[in-house]
Amino acid sequence: MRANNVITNGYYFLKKLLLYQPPSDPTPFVLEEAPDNKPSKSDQLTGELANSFQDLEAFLRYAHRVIAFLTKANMSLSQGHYSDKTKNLKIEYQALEKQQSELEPILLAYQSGQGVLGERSLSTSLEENRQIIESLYHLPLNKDIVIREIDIASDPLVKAMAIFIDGMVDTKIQNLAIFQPLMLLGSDQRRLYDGDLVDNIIRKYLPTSQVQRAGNFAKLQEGINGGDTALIFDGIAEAILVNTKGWEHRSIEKPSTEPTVRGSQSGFTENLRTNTTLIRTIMRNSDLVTELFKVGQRSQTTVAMLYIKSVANPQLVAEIKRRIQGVRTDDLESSGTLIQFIEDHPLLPFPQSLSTERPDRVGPHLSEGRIALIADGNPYIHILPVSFFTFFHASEDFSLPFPIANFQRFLRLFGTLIATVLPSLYIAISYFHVEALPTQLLLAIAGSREDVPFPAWFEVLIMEISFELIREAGVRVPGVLGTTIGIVGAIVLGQAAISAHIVSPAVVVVIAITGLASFTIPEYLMSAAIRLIRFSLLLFSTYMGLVGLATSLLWLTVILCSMKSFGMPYMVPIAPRTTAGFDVVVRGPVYSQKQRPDALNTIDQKRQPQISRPWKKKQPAGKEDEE
Amino acid sequence: MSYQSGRMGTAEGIALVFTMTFTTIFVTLPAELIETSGELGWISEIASGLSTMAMLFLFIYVFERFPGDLFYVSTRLLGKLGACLISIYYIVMFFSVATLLIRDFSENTLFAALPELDFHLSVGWYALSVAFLLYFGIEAIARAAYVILPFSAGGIILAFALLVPHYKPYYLFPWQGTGMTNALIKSGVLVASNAAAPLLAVIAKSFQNIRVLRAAAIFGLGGSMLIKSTSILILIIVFGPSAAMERTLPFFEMTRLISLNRYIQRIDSIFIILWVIAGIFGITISLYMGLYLITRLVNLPTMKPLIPIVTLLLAQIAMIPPDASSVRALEGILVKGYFLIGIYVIPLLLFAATLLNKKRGTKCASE
Repeated sequence: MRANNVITNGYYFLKKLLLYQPPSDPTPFVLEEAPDNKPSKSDQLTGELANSFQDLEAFLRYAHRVIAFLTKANMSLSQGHYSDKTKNLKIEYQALEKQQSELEPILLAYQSGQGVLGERSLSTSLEENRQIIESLYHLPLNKDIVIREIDIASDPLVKAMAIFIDGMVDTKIQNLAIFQPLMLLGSDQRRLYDGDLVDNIIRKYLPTSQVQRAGNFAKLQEGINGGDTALIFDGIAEAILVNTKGWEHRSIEKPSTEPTVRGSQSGFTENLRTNTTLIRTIMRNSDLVTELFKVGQRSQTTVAMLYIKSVANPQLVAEIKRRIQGVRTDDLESSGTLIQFIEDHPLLPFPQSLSTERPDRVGPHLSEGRIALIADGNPYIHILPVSFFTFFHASEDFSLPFPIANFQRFLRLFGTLIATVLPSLYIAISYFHVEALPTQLLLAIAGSREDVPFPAWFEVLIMEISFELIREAGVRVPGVLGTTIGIVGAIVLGQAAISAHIVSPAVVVVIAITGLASFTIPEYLMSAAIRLIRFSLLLFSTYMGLVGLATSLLWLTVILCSMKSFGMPYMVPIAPRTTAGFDVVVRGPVYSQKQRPDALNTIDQKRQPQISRPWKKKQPAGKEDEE
Repeated sequence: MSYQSGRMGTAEGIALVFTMTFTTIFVTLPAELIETSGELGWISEIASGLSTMAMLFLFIYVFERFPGDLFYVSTRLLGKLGACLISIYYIVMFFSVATLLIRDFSENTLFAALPELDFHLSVGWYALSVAFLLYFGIEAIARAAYVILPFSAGGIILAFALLVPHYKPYYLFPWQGTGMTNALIKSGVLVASNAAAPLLAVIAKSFQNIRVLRAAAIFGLGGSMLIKSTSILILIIVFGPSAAMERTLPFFEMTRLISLNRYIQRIDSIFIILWVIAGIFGITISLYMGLYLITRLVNLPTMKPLIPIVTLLLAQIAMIPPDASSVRALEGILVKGYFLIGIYVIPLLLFAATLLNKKRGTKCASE
């Protein structure tokens, strides 16, 4: 027992204070690697072999018994003593049936050990198919999968089951197109097993537009996971996949990130089929091909590749197809992820494909010979290959008269130049080449900087980072609040920073113009790349002035000239020099756009005939006789 | 389609020749030409441009008959030893051009842009920039040169236009200067401003066809000849021949004179971007040519491992001369002697060998 006096209390207090004792709290949770519970290889082999041996012996015994029964039945029937022996044979037959049902799980287990379940063919046994499906979908743990057993009235009765994922099917279609005709409208007189049962049912009893036959579990799963209802029949090693897709999805809305004044107002959705339909409504051409691929070993995301077969370069089509089919990943989050897997320069910030949520933007690009990629579940469609100058086209350029479209394009290019170099130019001139500024402007800048305790580069950096923060916050904050925060944040922060003498008004003006100019770039990814580049230019000009700026601009130009967008030089039609088709950098009048972009090397180079306005050569209406 | 993968077209050819030959207007060469030919300096430049063009056409004649690059063609015509000697000559020539440009532009940077910068840092900066660009290969460099070409030419023309108030045409008189004959003879010697023009021969295989070589020779060299000649002419009419020949950085000093009103004055620093880009391009292209010839000569699969080593070595060499006047002296020796072999002797030698080969071929056929 511990003596309770000042000395011992002091001793224990000091001991507790100085000596480490492990905490009495439970160990916090740490996700560890899966324990290695696998038996050793020799044990495993011995165990597996022993089990297999026993299983095979059981099958062998059953087989001997069947042979003995058949011999006995043959002899009895040949001797003609029907009445006496039939009874015994019946009893023996029932015993055999029982033994077979006992052996069924062993057979299933044996078959399941023969390879990946999903790759196996369907069995004739309904029970076996059910067991495999339960195993594939982890039933009864998985609550989304519904297996509905039905009896189809026929002679003999057809036992069947319908498998589907709850929520992915349209129950109305399912009831009207599958269950009603099979269950309610049948009769005991029909003989479905005569001939090909699957064919009979497809032809006569399934009033739905899309029906497929599936012979293996891989196809069966693909259909079920895609919203189809699978029908499996007893005694038939084949299933029917009925198209009952009907999950909830966003309807067609206005494009949120690409607003236009004069363009169409419909945007893509998350549904692949809606998106392909939207494109087809714009490009009603039988040459428009939609090829489908599954990408993502686990996500099995459907990717659609659209192109006009009579226009697009077959080599380009084959290459894109090769790249898509060569993607090995678990999960494909979006079309942007797919592009990162297949583009030429994934380490560079410049986008190599044009992403858009506007169908009216995809149509003209397809007709120029480009390829569109759609990933299911993502409203952004990627167009490829593209040139650097494509990113400065807005969707409404197509519907504007060419002088206005060109003016806007040059304004955007000028905006890009400002957004790229203005802060660096300000730093370079105000640090190293002040003589280039008119005296009064120089005095004004010097005066405004008098009370600021930081160097100019630090001011610019603070403002640039603040601007980026406001922009990012504005995007992340939901709804109207985002815009408000953006505007209020910019005004309040700018004003407060000037009042607190943290930055000079000149820097605020420079950053505001730069920020404004960066919004003129229509493509979000290009705008982000320019913003990133701006920081490196700032670094160079801070240390080397205009020499640093010139060097970094030269590096940038060479990098851009070395890039390729899916094999096509990124800087066409300028570097290398190609025929632009009058709508790459400068947009010509619509009637002068006779050629498709040369760099795409399309099958059909001609976009429209030499005379695209033959009406100009004819007499006006009402004066035909004067011709 | 007007481009082929891995092959350069007319635009790239023109850009390469133009960029490599017009760079000399940013260094002391215009002043040297005026010193030699007086008021006729601009005629000397035209004459030297035309004589270089004639030599390029001799190369083109040879390449028309023997498609390939310089190393291959000289092996065919002069044997392996001849090809080795020619390659070694051009390697030294292009590396000399690169080294001189590194030194000249580093000095320019210290004098006109960043006076407080350390000299070694200035040289190092150019070396680093060039080494980085070399990794992208000649195709990307040539394309970038073509993208920048209109801005370079436009910038120079703009500078000339802004200098109009300073033009004094009477400085051109007496118009014969030191004499027409002297000007023409000196032009032949001072042809070194186009010393890098044989690059067309070095990488002839990289161009699509002979037409590209022809266009590059005519428009690339012709364009730079016009720009350089105009630059000398304007230098004379702005400063007068006696003052012009004393200018160490004529272009920079001309742009310093620009003063139209209170807003457009002392804009020389804006032109820094122009000459820095031209300088880096010039160094990069000449270095590439030297490296290309090394890889051909010793049959290397790639030049990439050589880039940092050679760039570092040349940067070190560029730092050896103690001052600008010794650089000019060295330049004088190279320009008036060594470079002339690459411009006159080798093209004539290859041309003669081609003719001889042709004659032999005809003779054999007739036999």
